[in-house]
Amino acid sequence: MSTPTSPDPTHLFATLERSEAGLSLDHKDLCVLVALSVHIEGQGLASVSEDALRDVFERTWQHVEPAALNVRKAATERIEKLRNQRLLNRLAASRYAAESDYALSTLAMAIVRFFHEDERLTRESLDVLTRTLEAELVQALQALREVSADEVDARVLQPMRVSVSTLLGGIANRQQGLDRQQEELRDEVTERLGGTNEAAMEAATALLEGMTNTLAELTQVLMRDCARLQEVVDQIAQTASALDREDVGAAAADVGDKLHRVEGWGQSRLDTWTEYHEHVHRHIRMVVSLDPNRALSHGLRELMRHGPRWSLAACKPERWRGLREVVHRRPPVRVRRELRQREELPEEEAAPVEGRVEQAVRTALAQGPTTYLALARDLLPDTPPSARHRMLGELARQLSLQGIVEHPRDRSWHPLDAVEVHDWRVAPGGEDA
Amino acid sequence: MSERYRNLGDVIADERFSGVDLALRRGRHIGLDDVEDFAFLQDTRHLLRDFYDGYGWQLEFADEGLFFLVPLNDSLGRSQLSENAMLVGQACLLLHLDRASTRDAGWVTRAQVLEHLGAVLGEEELGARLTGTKKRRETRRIDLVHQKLGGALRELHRLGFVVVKGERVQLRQALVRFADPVRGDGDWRRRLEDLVLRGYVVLPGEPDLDPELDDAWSEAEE
Repeated sequence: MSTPTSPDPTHLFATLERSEAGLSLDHKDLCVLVALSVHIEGQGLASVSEDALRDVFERTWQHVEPAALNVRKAATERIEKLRNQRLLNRLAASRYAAESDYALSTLAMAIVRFFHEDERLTRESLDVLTRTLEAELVQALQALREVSADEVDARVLQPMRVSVSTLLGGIANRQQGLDRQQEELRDEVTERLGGTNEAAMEAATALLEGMTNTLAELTQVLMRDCARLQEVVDQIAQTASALDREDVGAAAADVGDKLHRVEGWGQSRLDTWTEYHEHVHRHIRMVVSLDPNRALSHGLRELMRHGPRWSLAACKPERWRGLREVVHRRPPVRVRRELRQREELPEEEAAPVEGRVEQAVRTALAQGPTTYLALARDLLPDTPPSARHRMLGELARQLSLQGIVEHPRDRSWHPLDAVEVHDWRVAPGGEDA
Repeated sequence: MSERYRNLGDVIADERFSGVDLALRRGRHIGLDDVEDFAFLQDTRHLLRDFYDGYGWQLEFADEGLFFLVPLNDSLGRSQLSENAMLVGQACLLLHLDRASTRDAGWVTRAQVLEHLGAVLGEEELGARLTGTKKRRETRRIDLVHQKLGGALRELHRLGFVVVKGERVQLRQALVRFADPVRGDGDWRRRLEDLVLRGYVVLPGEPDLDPELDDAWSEAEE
């Protein structure tokens, strides 16, 4: 079964932000909308003239604000407000309508339906709706098998998209009605629990039991009927597949998804209500046994305010431990030589390098200016690789001690065997010269 | 006694034993909400009582439907709830006893807990008690108060008093333990003394539960 992909809401966010869409309605606006809806439906009209609209408004205003002085002005302002919020559409004057008419927008109708219609799902209404739905689906299945390809659109697709969806929408609307009833019932139960007498508790319990039974019954009926309806939908999908009608298959999948949602509603609401039911029962038992006259609550408040600090004793939680098997390993051998000793070269190696470098620098400077690079090239062939860096460092030190080092602004690097060095020009005349 | 568990060996051989035993040793309260663990303890309580006696612990069953371990000696370590956890726990119990909490089947918000604490203690006192200081600059720091509340709720969550899910807190039956000193008709001072003598309650002086340890456990459990 295909799952409809959810549209990305960010586009809608941007549109809403751009248009600065918003709703601001008070109860008086809602009363006008409801009155207008009742008038339009009662007269069997699609729209009303401006005069009729003002007439409906004035009659409504007599109820919601009887002391109003300037009803006409209020009507102009309120109608403008409703139009600005796209709740009331002004239809352009045409040949058939001499002056502009007004009609409620789909948004306004949805709002009216939410507040005005109070349809709740009952066993009876569910029976009627599912039977009608089944008849529609069976008819669509027969039509799919019998009619020609040209007629499939009118005889199969349209009924599935319109009639079946409307009926499923009707069930969903009534489910929402029952959701609202549960909310009201929760408020009522909470109110009843405030009473300390037995009768109040019994009344609360009776309310809970009533809704639990209703939900259990509806869930059972929904599961049974939805399974039956799903069978017909599956047959439609199979026939559509055999006839290679992808559009009918998609419509069947859509109906299947809606059926799933309708069926899922029952179980989820029953689970939620059962949890609530159990909690309230536990609460009643606890309050009756622990705090029937609210003395305990009072005492606890006093203890919190004026009592000594006290704590409940608890077991001391141990830290997490990895329960691995113990493996006995040999202790590692300790390195006894000190780090300094390992780093330093043996004395007998260090001495010749230093002495040789000092002598070479003295000799070179005695003959006149020299360079670091030239001396390094002379000394390098006779220096073992392990002492190269030491020799180069010593050379720099001796040159800086025995000569005057000139630093050109731009010094370049010169490759010297495995290292690179800066060249210095050194003239005789240092501190040790 | 259940037919299924004839001796302690049968109890220990049950796959649920290790989980329940660990939970109890960590100070967790197992109530009716923990359906399977509670049923297991109900079936085995007579055998497990002897088992824990050996450690110097008492497996306690409260009438409200609640199992927990009470350390009667220090052989395996004993601790106590932190001051903040005690304060928040008592506020949660008051909320639990309030019929308004039934509206959402015992689920309340952190803000409601804080609001209730504020109503009982007053805003200033609430800040001072939770932050542990009387400096006004500290007690009025909303973020610090929320941080302390969060720490207390985590501790209560670990011990099975509440369930914390983001901003929402589920109040559980185990909270009735916070009513121990004010149950019955007697004076709460005498009752508190009695509870201290029996090892159920500790008065200040002993170390609280290690908050770092608490965090580590919360993470591990998540």
